Amino acid sequence: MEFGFTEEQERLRQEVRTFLEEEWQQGLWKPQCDAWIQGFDPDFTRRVAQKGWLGLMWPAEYGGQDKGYVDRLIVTEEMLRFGAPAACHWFADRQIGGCILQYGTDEQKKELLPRIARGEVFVGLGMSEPEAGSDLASLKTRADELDDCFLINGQKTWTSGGSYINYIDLFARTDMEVAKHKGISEFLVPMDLPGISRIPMIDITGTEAWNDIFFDNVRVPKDCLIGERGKGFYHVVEELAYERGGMERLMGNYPLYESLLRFVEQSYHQGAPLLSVPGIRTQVADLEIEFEVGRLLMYRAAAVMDEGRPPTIEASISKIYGTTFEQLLAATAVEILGTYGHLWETSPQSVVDGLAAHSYLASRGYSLQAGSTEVLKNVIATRGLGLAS
Amino acid sequence: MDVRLDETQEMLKASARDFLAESCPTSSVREARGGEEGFSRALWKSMAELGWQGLALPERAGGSDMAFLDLSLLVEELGRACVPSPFVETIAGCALTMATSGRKEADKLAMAIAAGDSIVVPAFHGARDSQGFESLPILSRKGDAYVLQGTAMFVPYAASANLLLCAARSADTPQRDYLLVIPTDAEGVLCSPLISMSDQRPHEVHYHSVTIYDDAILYEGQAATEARQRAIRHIEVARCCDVAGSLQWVLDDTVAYAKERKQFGQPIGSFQSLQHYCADMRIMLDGLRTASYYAAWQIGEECDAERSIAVACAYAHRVVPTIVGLAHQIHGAMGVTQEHDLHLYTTHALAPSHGLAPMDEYRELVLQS
Repeated sequence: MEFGFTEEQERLRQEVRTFLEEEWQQGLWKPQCDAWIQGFDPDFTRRVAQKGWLGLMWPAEYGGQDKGYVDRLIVTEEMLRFGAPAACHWFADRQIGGCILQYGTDEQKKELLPRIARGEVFVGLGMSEPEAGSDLASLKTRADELDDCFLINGQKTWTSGGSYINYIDLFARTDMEVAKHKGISEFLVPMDLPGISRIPMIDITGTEAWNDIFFDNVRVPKDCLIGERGKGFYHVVEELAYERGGMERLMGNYPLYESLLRFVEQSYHQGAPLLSVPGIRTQVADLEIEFEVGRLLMYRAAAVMDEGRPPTIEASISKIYGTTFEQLLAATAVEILGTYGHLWETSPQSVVDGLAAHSYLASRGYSLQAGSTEVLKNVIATRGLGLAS
Repeated sequence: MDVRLDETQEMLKASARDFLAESCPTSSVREARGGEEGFSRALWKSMAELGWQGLALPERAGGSDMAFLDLSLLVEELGRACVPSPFVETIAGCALTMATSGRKEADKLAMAIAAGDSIVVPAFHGARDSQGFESLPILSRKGDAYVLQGTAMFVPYAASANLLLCAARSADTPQRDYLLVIPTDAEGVLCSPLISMSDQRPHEVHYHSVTIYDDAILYEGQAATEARQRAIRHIEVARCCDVAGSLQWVLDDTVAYAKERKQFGQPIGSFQSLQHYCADMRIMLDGLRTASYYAAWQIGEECDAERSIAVACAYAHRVVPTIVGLAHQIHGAMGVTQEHDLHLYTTHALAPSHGLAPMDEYRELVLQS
């Protein structure tokens, strides 16, 4: 057992940090919370791609660098630390590429992976439906196989990516006769096909965060099918373990965390630094302790992925842990800042760049998306601890 | 000891609830919040016609002379309906302060508030200086007049108010406190909106050499210090009751949702973990409500309510985000949209406090009392 990084990894981290630091100083973007899912900047994605940091883990022939999960975690950690606008490429880089590598045809790998690595492919997830959230296997969107295409009809919801996505990672039912989780197939569908429409959904912070996506007799070319027909749900289950284990579950609000730490150090309250108020001191120390443990759990999950096995339990743990931390961060910020913490960035007298208000509201969703805390606790209890389901 | 509401209180709550269900459904809440002023003047007038503004004011000020607890029970219904309005601050903060000042002109002003014709909001908190002290606006003598200079923070609905009840301090040594009644359209008064996730339309108010005369002084000296403290505490307790009402809606809505929403072939409310969450919400809400009622009752009985007020406010600070969080967790993704009504309550039921580090202030009060 050892906890160090290699020299190469330290260099990679430094390189990413320097790049982001310089871009930020030049005012190319502003640090934001949830920038990994709401910060859309195709030019930024292109510049990151030029550095070779997309598809880091793929073989060089597909535009990658043959690196591991810990390496990718280092890159994404720095992206999150700076609140950089990485939303255009995040999903494609995080899970779609890996899925194509694992299950895709050679043509698909050659066609899609280099384009993802160049920062040209922006993917939204087409998983949830109005009646299929936690119970994803009950999804109803149909994909009927015809001679020359799959005919897709149905509705997906909670798809992030707005008007930016050019592909949707779609899970649809190809078989009505079998058990529900056995009849699902995965498709990577271009968003410009006739019959696809979207309605934006406004989230609790007032941001256009998601879409309802409607499929009305959409003729999807057969080569959009990823892997075997009927195996889509199994892809999802494995994909989710990787989707859940990312640093975005712990550091999505890192800009708030940094701002808050600076604020309590530099602001005075009734004649003394805010950080010297005993109650606040305790709360801030607790945040730091929780964060450090969370970060270790994140790296552990990545190390497990590098061992070559899916981090089913480890990623469930780190996701629950991380989203709990984020909610604690938001609650602590608003408690310390009081009415000042309610002010948005555009307000006079706003503090911590108005990020406390964003996090207080947005953090409600973290313990729900990509696997609710309750479902993940079930996974830990049953598959991790062997308790009867 | 009897924790039941009496008949008058039952009727008050029931009639308020029915009235608001009819005249302020959540669609009206959205409309009011999206409007220029952030509240409905028509509703404000209707409330006055029902005697709500004057409920706890003395008869000589046009009120019904009911107890602070009764006012708080009414406020709880406003919270349940998520009504955005200056009611809590105007009535619990200003009208009561004016009506108990013993000054005839103040009684007249209180009557105008009771009639729904005048809105007075409290400007009790100053801006922070570099050392983190709140500095109240300064009042200096100028011949037989006074000049007011400085800033007030977090003044709710200031741009819609007729009058400000303004806390100020003299420039002399030792400093003397004042509570002043200032028209919002007086020369030199500037109300600028703060942009907040709260629905209370907080403002910064700047006083640029505002000239006032003796008749603007409602209280001065120690009486002003005490009146301001009292008014702040009254607002906080009323706000706790408002929040308790809001969170009752939240709990009811959450339970209804858990009964209806199905996943894995059954209502999600049949899962034990969610049942425990609902039970937790109920426990915390009952604690909040009871503590708030107790503080409101003590205020009405004219006991020393410092400790019970601090307990209620501190407790609110702790449980409000937790109850709201559990409600959101059970509502799932729908609750994180603006389409669903839950977010209206999430941004209305914010803990009753002002400024930085409020929790530590309450903790200190509890330890010291």
